[in-house]
Amino acid sequence: MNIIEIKNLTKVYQKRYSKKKITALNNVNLEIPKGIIFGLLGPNGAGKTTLIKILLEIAYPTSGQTKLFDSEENRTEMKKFTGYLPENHKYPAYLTGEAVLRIFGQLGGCDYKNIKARVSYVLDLVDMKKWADTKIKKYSKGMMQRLGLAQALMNDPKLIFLDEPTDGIDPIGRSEIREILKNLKSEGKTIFLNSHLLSEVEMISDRAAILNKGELVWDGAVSDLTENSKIVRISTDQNISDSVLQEIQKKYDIKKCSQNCLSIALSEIKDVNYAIDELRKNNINIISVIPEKQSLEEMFISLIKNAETEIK
Amino acid sequence: MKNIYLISMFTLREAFSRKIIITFAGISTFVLLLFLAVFLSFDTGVLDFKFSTNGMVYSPGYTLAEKIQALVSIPIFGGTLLLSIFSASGFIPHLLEKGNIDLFLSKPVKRYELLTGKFFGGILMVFLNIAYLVIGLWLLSGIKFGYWNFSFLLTIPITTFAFSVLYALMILTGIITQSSLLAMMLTYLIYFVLSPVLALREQIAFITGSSFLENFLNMMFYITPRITELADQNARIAEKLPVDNWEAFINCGIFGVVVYGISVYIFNKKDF
Repeated sequence: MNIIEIKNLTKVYQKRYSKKKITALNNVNLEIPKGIIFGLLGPNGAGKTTLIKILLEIAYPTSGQTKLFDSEENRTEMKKFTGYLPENHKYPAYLTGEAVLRIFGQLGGCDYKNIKARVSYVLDLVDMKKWADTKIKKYSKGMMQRLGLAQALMNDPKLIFLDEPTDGIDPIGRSEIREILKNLKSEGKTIFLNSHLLSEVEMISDRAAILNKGELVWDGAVSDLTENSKIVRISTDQNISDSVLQEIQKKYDIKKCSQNCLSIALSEIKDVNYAIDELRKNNINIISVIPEKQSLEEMFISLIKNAETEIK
Repeated sequence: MKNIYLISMFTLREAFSRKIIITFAGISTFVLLLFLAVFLSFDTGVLDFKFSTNGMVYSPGYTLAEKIQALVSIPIFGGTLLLSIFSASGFIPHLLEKGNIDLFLSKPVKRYELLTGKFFGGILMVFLNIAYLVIGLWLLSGIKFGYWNFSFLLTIPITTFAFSVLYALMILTGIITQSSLLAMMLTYLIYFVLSPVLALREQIAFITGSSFLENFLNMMFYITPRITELADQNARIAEKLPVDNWEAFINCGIFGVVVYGISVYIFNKKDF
């Protein structure tokens, strides 16, 4: 079952006091199955936050449809099963962490009788129990993010939207949050993650999509994105002479990385045999042939660049 | 209803934490202490006699108490509205701040519930403050003169009603402009400038002799809230006189409902 379905979604903002229009989302189609961690990537202003806002009816689409929980029911009712951590969220500074969770928990549909236990549980989950009675004006950015995550989990949601959840959090805290998200996934919850930290998405997401200037440029499994590479690294036990390199270069784009290691870009993976033959012909022993895994960041940059070239 | 109640209480809490209610209560306490000092400084023994005519009991002490209450009902009405507008002006723009409104709208709360909760929360805050001051004055004058004028207590709902009408306008301005300053300025303009000027529209039209101005002022008179006239009626009621201008109440009521309805409509359609 798809927990989120987006069909031909377009959002155009009309600038105030001007006829200028800004297309935040352009004909986006996306289906997200239940029980996964989904990462939405894209440069600043790509339309990532707008997409979440439309799904939660914080903003309205110009055209197209969105569906949550495979249901046409009233979206307000559906929000009983969703949690949201907005980017740059603002809680009233005069409240304590516990009071924030109580207020937003009750608004989120938490049962009043169980709210104390739930507050205690989520504070413990994000390691903020000792700060529960402190006014949030004294919280650091990282603590605010943890509190925001706790707030998003108050109503025990089935679908959790997180907009830059690790913003301002140190590496140890990030790793803890990743663990929390993995645990939530193991409980069957679906997590929709907006992040500009590509490595983070790569580490925990099952699926990802890339938005650029409001258009979906890629959508699929993170492993497909990073392993779909035709670069091979060949390591040898001795230095590769320039003459051998020149011979190989006739056929391949060589990215030599050191004296006894070279990376070559292949048009087809079987073409690696020619390079191996050339090296062996010159009595160079081969230690390893490893297909290079492109990082998500490299793929991301290349996809964005390609998309921009197409637009031009 | 649960969500409206929760948001109203949240708004009241916001008013407490921003020291709005404390400041209000401080000013009211100062006024009450001032009256206490005045009442303690003179002896009402000379006024302490009664006579009856046609079955009605009269006392100079009662008359004085009634006049004092009628007299103070005017500054209470004006002063509390002035302070209330100032203190409630930030409620809506603050709600609409980025990062705050997203949180509220991501919850299973209908937009009209959110706005209505803010509306009632603001009204409740003002009601509590006015009630404290008016009941305090009523008790002081009752104890001093032995005269318990229950009509004076009607100042509480009437002033709260006047505030709710102006607050509806502040909500609309706040939603459109997201500026507390602009919401406050527009409300003060209507309350302090437009309403008193329009109350004198016939005299102004007579002096200038301009039929265009007369028509314009008449139009404005019917479409803007008649707060000045409401203040007059409040003073009459405090003095136990009958209401002689129900139109002011009806006009203000219709204005409040229409403006609030427009606010809800715009808020429902708005992207955040």
